Amino acid sequence: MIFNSITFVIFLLVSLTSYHLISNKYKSRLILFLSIVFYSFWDYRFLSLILFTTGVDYFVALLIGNKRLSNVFRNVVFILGIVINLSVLFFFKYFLFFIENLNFLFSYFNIDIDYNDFAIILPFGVSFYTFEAISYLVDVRRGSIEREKDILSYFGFIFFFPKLFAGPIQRAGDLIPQLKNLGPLNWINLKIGLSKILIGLFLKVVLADQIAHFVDSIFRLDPNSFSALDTLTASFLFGFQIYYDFSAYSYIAIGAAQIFGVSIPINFNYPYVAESFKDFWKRWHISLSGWIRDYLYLPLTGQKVIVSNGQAGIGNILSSDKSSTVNKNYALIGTWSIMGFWHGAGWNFLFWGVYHAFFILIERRMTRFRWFNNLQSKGFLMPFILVVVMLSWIPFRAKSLSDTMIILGKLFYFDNYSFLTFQENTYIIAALVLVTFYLFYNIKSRVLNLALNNGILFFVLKVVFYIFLITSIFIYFKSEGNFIYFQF
Amino acid sequence: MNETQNPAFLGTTFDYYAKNEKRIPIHAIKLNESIFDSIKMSIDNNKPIILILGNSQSQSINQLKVGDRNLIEYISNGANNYNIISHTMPNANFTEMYLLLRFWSSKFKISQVIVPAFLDDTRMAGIRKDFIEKIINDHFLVDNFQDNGRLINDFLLGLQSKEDTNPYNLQRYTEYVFDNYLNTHFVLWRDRSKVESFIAVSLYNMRNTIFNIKASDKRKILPAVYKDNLSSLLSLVNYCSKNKIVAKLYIPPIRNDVEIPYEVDEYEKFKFDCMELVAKDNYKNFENIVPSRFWGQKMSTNLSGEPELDYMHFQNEGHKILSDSLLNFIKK
Repeated sequence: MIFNSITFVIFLLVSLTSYHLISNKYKSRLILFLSIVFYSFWDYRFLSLILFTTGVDYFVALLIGNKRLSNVFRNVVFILGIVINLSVLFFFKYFLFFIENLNFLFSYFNIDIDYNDFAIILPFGVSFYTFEAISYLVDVRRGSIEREKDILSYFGFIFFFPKLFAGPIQRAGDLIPQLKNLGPLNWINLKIGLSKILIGLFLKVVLADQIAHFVDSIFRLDPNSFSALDTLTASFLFGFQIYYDFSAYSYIAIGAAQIFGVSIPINFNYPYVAESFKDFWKRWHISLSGWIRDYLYLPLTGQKVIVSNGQAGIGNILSSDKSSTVNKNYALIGTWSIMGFWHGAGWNFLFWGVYHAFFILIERRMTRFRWFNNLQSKGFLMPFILVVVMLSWIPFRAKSLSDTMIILGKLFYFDNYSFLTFQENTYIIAALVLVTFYLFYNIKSRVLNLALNNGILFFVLKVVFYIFLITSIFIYFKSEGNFIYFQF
Repeated sequence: MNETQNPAFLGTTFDYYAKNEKRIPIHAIKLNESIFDSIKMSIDNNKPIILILGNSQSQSINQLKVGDRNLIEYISNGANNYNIISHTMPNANFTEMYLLLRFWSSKFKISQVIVPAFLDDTRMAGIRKDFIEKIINDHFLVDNFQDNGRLINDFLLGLQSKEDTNPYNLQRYTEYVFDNYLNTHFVLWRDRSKVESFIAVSLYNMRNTIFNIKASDKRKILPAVYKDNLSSLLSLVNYCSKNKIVAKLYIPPIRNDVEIPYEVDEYEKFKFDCMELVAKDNYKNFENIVPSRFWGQKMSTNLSGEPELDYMHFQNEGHKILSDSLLNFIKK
């Protein structure tokens, strides 16, 4: 079920009503049931897959969390659990890519693998719930959390519908206790939750989906005809589309969870005002970067991590940093490559990962210099960071790695700066989107401060804001177009 | 007061759907199931079928009066030995026209296709959903990937979400039911697209005002989009050639009492590019055949409210003149 649909609105109303009527004792079971219904609406055939993997993870955790069993046995079961999860992810997400590339290699030996009739549907949410399951198994194995003995509670954690399809990626230690202690609806949670849902819907149907029209028309053109300024325009437009689209999903997920009294940490924090690449990754898809840090990067550098209700899902490091710089650099490249591939089965996604790793490595080196740190702290590097980050979205949207290279390559020839290719409106919209984002960011806190000191003004502004939100959502509401991160 | 100061406009209701002599619709703008069925019903199996493609010039009558007919209906009235069917869309680009040809030729045996070549519309790319509801609902895709067929399929697949094509997706059914219910019972819900259009037009007018853009300003070719369009036109011509459909291309009328809104060298190059694609007998230039007195004005495209010259749409008499020329062209 997608959030921007009449079906979801009705589903939410039905959920709220039934949640209100049922006793506290059964609220978590109701949420589980509703989540299963939510998932089934997308494609009920895949229900069995997520039920199977969740069941396997539950039993694996029971075993690996049982300290009476030998470490060897627990390690074997732990590895088996990880392998099962990754195998499912590999099959549905990477198998066709693997076959394509194998076919390419075999073609040198005149061997052709016929896979044209082979089609695999990517189950919605598989990348996200697989990572949640893996983090659960790792946390239990590390001893950071106790294994969950109540099977329905564990299923509730994986299936929890607000974050099921596209995160934010949750940690079992954060979510399971909340789901076990659900209480009655309260007005404050309803208010805050609904307002987040409205903001999310606005970002999706009014901003992201309208920008999408321009982005789609750009990327259907022959990339060879792009100019350098077209490359920048395309990257900025898509950069804002993906930001509004994905943050919209997160807002709605967080809002929908809040309504039921469940707190999910924020997933985006104005990433396009980042003052460094490191800062950007503390603001963009925070739950994923936290996961990668705690379960991939830090272990690869030999650091021990304990996760104990870390803020925004980021765990606390147990042992001090003893790893070498060289080790850290290899770990960085490795994790970013994996992060790239997590986003999609394609060399252009790997390129994206390596691209980010490259700039982070350079930044690490440069932070040894005082002048660099001064520039950074004063925000002078922000435009550079912004341009580099925006250009990184090209591989996400271009049709292939070769198209990516063609488009990015336009920046390196002086002649490419003397013409424009797109319709005039495209540049106007790109400029408008950029300006309004920064305008909003800069005036938001000032307006809020002003309003907080003046109760009547605050009330009027709130009313005007919500009327504007609701009216524009109503006009542009369409249940077409999935969220971009569903394809990951 | 001369013709260019005539305050009579293109008007708010200017699209005229053509019908044959039995008053059966033969013309689609926004193609849905019922219009398709009507067009199908209009066909006499004993006569060859001619498909007329076009943009709003073919369908819209400036200063529409009772009794006026558009180009399509005049052609239909004059082409007794043929079935005339038509699908025109405002600002139709060549990629859209190629899609329409592929669709209609998959449904009927088309003997001729008449294609107007507007330089204006080579600035547009992509395929718009609003005018091809039936094509989307039928999950139509071109049956092979030659030429720009792949481009068309990319567009069509993008317009059809995977959920629409997945029979196991329950939401497509519930969404359809709920949306229909709301459309039936709530005027506000049904008229949202009108509000959206009003906002788009207002923003467009505001843009024109801010940047001082007028209807008479020269429209430059956008190289990438132009190339895409010409590529689709070439694909259309090649497809016709392979499937024994005669493709006839014409340069449509443009008003000749004022400077044209194109760079002259670009316009000449465009006409040359089009001429090169088809056989000499299958190309005609009708740019000067409609006298200036049969053109008119249209509503302002900026916030001033002042009417502007309409370079695209002519009056009933202009439709008659063009139809006579096209009938000769068709029968050749």
